[in-house]
Amino acid sequence: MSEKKYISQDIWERFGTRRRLLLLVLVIVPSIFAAEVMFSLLPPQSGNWLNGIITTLFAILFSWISIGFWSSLAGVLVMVRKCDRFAAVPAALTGQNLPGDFRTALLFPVYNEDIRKVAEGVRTVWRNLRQKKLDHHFDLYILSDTTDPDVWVTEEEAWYDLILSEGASGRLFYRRRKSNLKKKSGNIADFCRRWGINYRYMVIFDADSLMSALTLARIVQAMEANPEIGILQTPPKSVFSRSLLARVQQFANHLYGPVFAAGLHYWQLGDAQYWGHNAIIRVNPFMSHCQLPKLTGKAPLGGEILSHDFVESALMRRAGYGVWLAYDLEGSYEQNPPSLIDELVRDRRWCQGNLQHSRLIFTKGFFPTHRALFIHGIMSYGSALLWLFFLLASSFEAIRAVIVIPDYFPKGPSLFPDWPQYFPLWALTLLSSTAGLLFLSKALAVVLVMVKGGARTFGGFFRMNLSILVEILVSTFLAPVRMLFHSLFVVTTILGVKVNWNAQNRDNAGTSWKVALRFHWWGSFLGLIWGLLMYRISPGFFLWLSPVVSGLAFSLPLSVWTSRVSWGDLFQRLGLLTTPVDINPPEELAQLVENLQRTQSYDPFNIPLDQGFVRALVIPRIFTLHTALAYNRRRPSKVKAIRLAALVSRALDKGPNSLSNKEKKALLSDQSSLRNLHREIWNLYDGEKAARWGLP
Amino acid sequence: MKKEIDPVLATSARICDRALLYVYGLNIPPINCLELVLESLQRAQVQSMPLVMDELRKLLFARGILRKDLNSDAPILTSTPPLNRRSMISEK
Repeated sequence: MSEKKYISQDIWERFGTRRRLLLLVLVIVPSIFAAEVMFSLLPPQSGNWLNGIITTLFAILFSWISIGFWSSLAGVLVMVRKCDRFAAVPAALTGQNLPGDFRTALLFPVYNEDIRKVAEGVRTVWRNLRQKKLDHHFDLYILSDTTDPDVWVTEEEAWYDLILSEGASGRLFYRRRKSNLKKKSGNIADFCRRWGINYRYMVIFDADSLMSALTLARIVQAMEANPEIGILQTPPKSVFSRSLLARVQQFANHLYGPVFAAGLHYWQLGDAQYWGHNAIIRVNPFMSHCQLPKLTGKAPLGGEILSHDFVESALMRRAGYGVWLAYDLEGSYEQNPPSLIDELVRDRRWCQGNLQHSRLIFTKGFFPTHRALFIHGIMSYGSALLWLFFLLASSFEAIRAVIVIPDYFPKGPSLFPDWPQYFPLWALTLLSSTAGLLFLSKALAVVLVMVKGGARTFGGFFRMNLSILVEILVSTFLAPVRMLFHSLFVVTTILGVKVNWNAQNRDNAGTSWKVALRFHWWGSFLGLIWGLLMYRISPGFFLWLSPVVSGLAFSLPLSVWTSRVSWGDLFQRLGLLTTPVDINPPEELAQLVENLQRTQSYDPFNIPLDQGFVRALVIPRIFTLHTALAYNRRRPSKVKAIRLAALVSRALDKGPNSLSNKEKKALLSDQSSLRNLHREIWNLYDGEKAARWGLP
Repeated sequence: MKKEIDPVLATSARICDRALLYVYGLNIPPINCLELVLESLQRAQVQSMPLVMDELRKLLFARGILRKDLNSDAPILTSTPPLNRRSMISEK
């Protein structure tokens, strides 16, 4: 089947510019009208300064939410049309007959992950490729930045098991970096420097992401058919969600996601963004043009660039290559954070990364769209702070209206007092417009699903609508919590204040009450005080504010309940929050589930898989594997040798728990110490000392 | 009446278990495991954990199951393809 020739860069650039100008007009003009209405609704007695602040904040926020609305509307237009001349991966590209003169690298960067899940994901991709007879077109790399010594050994074990059980020797590789300089972007760059020149393309995965063999083949074909594409991003669908929050987000992702992605494609065309994973990249221009610079100054706004993906998009575009979103491509998956706290921990990093982009807005050579996208990224978190200011200013306005007696004769003595005027109809119109912007985009997506007969895949008409109600309720009550935390992130990032956000202790039941209290006590307190104050002073305004203060006041139980897998399972049993992948799981997902349920083969050693350090020192085949893979065979200096000997002695005397992670890594990196310790452990006669190493 | 455990037998059993576990841990077939352990017990003569384990290791090296010197010319396991380096420098 012949490959479709794409529209030239000149044409899509011209269309893209016109569309974005249209978007600008659609956003700005209604926002100006809405701001004027808002200003006229505010009591003039408050003074122009306060009314000005409220109106300005309202105008910015109205513009912000209208971008989402117009994107959804554009998305509907794209999806109802029978063909899209700008589709990056048209239907003609079926994934068959890939050229055989090059291979594509599939990269799985990992950092202290649950390697069992990663390994089964890799196994699933490999088996899927083999089944479709596409395996000879791809090489797979597990690129480790792992610092945990136990996970390090487990990774080696998992890799070796994969190449033996799947016959992937010479096709599946494992590399661990000793230092994780520049984190994930540095990890990828390290691969590029060592082996990038061997490949025409590379596909970046996340630890929890998956792509089907057919999708991989189709995106390679798309890149081959259009040499002007530098990065092709696929829209990952959420899968395997168990907790209530994750299931709500998975439902929203499947229901609204396609329309929103189509809308993004409509406005962006070849000026789209790379999201960091589930994307294919042309290696040569990436190596030539997309190495990230180091920003001057110190963190948080200086130093290494954290959110590398947006910057790499801008650099690729600056080099003359397009960055496209394959909005209608299936077969690309990822997982959601299971709890609100996990999501906020992730957002903390992303917020800092996005705010760093303020240093790059005026970089020479960047296209205006990418400068705007940097601003958009900043506003993703900055809008939360603006919303908070808006609510605080409005609350102050409401309090002032009660406490301060209106001046009926502002211009001096007069026969006719200046009565305050109220326009309830205008207020209602403004409220309806704002609500319309927020909810109409969702309604459009739902109508599209129903028109296409897809309600069945969401549990049927009745259940789908009930699920939508659940999603709206959960999102509405969690929105103020997110607003508060995002505002905190923005302020602390700008001020350079470091906040300790360690990963929470989490069991299968979700966020514990203790952890939730530690994270949410201050937000709950603020919500309660704020709500009580407004209720006492201005009950009318309290009604407007009640969704916000309720969400804040109940943030602690909301955080706990939405993290519960039991609640997610309950909704699933009721047939709610169902998504197409639940009704009819694709082959690759079913394969992954089957792989994750594989039972471990018989192992005479009673040493858990997550105790990699002990397994490397005790189990002979793993000891042999680790020492065979050891990269550094240099003899240590005398001082270091003495230190290592002391560690060996302590380990034998007091067991593996007497060593820190740093000490374990030092031993794992030294051949001589490893051999000595391994031999002496097996020679231990003292039952108690031997038992510490899992030996009889 | 409580049966007393013969300490000599207990020691022998422990040493035997340890040696068997070691060879099991190398994924060697069970028959070969028994043979290796028996021979190392015979060679050690004295029932001492370090001696038996040392004899077992010598036997494994002699039969090529374990490689004595990892710095030798013998091929080692590599998890990556040969390097093919190229620089990647950031533009301004």
